[in-house]
Amino acid sequence: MKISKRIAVACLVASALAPTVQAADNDFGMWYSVSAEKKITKKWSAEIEAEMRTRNDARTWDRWSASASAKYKLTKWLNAEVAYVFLNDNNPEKISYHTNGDYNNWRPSYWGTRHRFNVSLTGKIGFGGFELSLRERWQYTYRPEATTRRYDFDNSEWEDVAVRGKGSNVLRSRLQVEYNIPKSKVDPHASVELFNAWNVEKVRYTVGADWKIRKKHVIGVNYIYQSINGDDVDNDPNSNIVSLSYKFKF
Amino acid sequence: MKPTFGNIYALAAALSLTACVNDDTDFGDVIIDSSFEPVAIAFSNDPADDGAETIPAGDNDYVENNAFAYTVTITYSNDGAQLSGATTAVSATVDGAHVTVRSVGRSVHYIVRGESNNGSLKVYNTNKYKLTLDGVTLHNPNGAAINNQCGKSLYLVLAEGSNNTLSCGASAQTIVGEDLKGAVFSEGQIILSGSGMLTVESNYRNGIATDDYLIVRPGNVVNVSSSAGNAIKANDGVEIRGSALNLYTNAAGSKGINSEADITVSGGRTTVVVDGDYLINEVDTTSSAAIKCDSTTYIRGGRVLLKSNGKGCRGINSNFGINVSGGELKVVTTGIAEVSTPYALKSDRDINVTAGSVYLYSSHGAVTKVDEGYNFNYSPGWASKTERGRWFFEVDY
Repeated sequence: MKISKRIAVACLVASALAPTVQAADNDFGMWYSVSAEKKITKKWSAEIEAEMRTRNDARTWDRWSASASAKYKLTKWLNAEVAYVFLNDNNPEKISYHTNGDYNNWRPSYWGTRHRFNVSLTGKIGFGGFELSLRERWQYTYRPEATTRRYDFDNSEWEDVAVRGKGSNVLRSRLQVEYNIPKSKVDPHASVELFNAWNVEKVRYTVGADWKIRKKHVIGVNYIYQSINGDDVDNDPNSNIVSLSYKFKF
Repeated sequence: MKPTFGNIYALAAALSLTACVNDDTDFGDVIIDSSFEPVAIAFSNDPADDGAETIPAGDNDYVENNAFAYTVTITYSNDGAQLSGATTAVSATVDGAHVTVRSVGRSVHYIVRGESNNGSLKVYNTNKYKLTLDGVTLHNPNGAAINNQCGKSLYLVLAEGSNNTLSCGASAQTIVGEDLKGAVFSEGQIILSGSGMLTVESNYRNGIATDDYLIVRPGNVVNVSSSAGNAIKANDGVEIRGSALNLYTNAAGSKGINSEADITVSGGRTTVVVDGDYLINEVDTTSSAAIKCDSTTYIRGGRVLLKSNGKGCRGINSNFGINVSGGELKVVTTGIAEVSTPYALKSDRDINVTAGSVYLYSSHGAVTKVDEGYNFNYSPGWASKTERGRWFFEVDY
């Protein structure tokens, strides 16, 4: 009960901090996910997950997704995982300008789908109450061709614009440390993850905790900071994020 | 109380309820409202609200200040024409219903009546003269219906209540050394007055053309259309003081009114509709326009209602500025932009509005365009004003 209140207070504090965060020209978003995990055999497990994300200081829906994954325990310290994710993104608006500063074109935000596949290898070692893990994930995302509308300010007219289908590959490398507090149901963790596509596009810093409420129920609360370098495949801006997750373990 | 992860999700749900705001830039007043219906601009044969006309003494542009000693009446029939009256004051040739008259040193008043589908009137006077259309219908398949080769004033008068139609075919037999620029052509200035109706339909170049200036006085209803050129072309200026003018053209690159000198509107109701697109020739691109002026356009009174539907077709395109100091100006452009952009008002210099009312709408271009260093100015003190992006502007004083 006390921990529940603390988490709720943490969320409120995070929300209250959003304007402060915005002042630094960073966005703020909330991520919500619900998942279910089933241990099939001693080595195999499967998971499904639904996630929703917001942006624009948590005022605008940014994405919803559904995923299915399977994990295989290769050794005591090495796991392999494959996953498919269906993404439906609310792509933010794009405005282009003439060299004199006048508006050229405006493409409003629009919803579009993507398909994502990833393969991961995760190695981990433990020392004391800590567990250090390194996850290497190859991620391929395909955006199908879509038609969007664009406003041409020069001609004062709307025009249909085809957005060509595109695939992109990213190597995600995540280093995480987790601490198992003795006699506590809360396990804090921290990680840094690099999104690498020939150069580092994005760095994601995370601190948070998982709370095993009961044997089958796990609540996760994380603070995430994303730093964007150049073009990011997800078109994310620099963001402060609070994520809330719930996992049910069969 | 049981472990309350539900509390957290209740909180999350509450937070998520706020995530319903679109974060797009609000261009509501910039982007054209596709449901917006611009004002309707349509021709009308109702007389203009001209009011009384003052005739200044001694002003030679008024037919009333001139005397015409000799009156010659020309009456057309389908295959011929008859001259009566002071016929000794002129020398005339009649070929079917094609009449040519000459008068040297005399002040002549021609009155024209009747009807012919293959007829014309050509005048070689040396002095200014008066031409009264008193219920005439003339169609010349091979040239101008009226061809005035006199370089002096042509006082064109529509007889009270008369209904007159002048038209020409798509081709013309020209004479070396003589201009022929439309269904009604004049070397000298045309001063149009009276209280009748005139319809001019041209399929060869312009509707009414003069190598000098054109003055339209109050009292008439004048319909001019051209499928091959401008509705009205006057080299040395156009002054509309009154009358109801309905001007239509659909030729590429054509204009409703076209002049190399100033165009001034001070009265009447001038309605222009242009369906012509821009014209690309070997050396240049010419935009169509309701009004094209190589000098300055002044609107001081009356009503000017312009609708440009062609691709890149402008409302008013005036090189040395547009000045609205009274009256009512409504411009609607609906054409798309391709090689040419359809501006409601375009000038290389300033566009100034100081009084009257101005309504500008451009569905695919912009309401105004001036060269760099110049401005679209409207005086303070307006009664109402509405601006919506580049596509709509309205101000009333």
